[in-house]
Amino acid sequence: MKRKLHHLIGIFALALIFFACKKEEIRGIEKEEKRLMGTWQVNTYKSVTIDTLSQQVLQSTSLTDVGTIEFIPGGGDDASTENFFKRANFHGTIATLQPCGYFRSVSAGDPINDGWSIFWDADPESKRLLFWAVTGGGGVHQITTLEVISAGKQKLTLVTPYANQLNFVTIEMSK
Amino acid sequence: MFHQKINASRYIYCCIALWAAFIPRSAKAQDWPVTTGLSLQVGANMYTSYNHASYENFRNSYNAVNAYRETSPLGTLAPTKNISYGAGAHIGPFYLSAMFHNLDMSTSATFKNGDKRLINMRYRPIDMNMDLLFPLGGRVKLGMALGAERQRLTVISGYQYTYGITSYADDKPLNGIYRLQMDYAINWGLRTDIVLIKIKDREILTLSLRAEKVGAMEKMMGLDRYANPMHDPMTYNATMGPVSSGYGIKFLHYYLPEDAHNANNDEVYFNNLQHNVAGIFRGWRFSANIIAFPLFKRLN
Repeated sequence: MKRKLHHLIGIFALALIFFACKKEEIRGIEKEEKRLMGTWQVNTYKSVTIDTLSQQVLQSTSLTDVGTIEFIPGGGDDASTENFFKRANFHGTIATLQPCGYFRSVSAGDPINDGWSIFWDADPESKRLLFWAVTGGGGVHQITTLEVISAGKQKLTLVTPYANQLNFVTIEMSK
Repeated sequence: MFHQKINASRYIYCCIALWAAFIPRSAKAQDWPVTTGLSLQVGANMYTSYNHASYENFRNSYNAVNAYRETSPLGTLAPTKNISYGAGAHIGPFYLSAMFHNLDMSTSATFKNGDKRLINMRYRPIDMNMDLLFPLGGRVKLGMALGAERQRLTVISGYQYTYGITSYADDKPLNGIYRLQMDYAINWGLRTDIVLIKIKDREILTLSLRAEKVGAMEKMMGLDRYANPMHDPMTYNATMGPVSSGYGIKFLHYYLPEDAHNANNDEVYFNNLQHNVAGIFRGWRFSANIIAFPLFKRLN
């Protein structure tokens, strides 16, 4: 009886250990990747530039239904395949707008039918999204702030500071 | 690197588990009722004199750098009360339990133009406690509380623009989400149990009071907290790797500089050449837990 109890306690403790020690951030990244996979319709795109001194709006653009962003999983262990890294395929007008427009402007990423393809990485906290691409001179990246509104709805925000100006780009997407 | 950490932590906890499971065989337990059982517990915690030295260094330097434009400085992160829950098992005087805690702390600095620096610290420790309790007489037990804790400490640093947007991206230096890597702490203190409900030999409900020093051995072990600073899991694990740009774009930020004077020094974020925010929480935690024993048996 005592031996059984000892074993029971040991098993109980080991189960707790497993739960306590699993690498949380890797688990979080995998969960976020799963959430992002698939095609998102870009419902609205809004770009606002303000003067940081006067807080006046200098320029504002608002567009609706500007294409899709397709999040594709990486290709596994075969580094020779072009889909080894996780890809974000921007289709339609959104491919010419920020943040994808930035990668086109520095010739980073790959052209695809009616769009542009770059790479992405997920944040285990679901608060940001990292886009990146490789150029001849190295790599470039853009980190966007992510807001998960519901299971099928999310908002990306990119803030770009200039001298005395701030540009806010907000993209609302739904699945 | 991650696999190494998993293996090391499993090894440590396995040793502790085996010790807890087999030590009771040698206990001379005829002098008091030897019982065994499984337990569920829920409790309230109160933290006092908590200290995260590295964050305090960051806070002081941040306020020094931004004093000219702050209308309210970045404040301390004052831990408050919180709830914990867990489960455990005991045999004889050895009480093994796992406890989960949730604690969020936040503060902000406000600037003259209305912008804000937001700091949120999330503390979600998992405690593995191995306590030694002896009956004092009547329904009271007293003993030593000893625990190993994974602190699971995260600092979320954001910037709220007057325009209404809050950003965690790299449009502002110091933005990011940073997690403690080497987050193990040793806690020790005292524990007193008072049996509230008892039917014959069987304890049904117990009030357990703990006073423990969290992170008690950090100084004693002489660990260099800066060797493993808090890191940003997204950029740190990014497949892009440590790639800089030929287009004047910043490095990916891995760490949060402890000295805010280094806010625009990419090398600090990237290579940990100077101190970055690091280290465990230390301080006193007082807790009151109600423990129920759905399985309980007297062995002698």
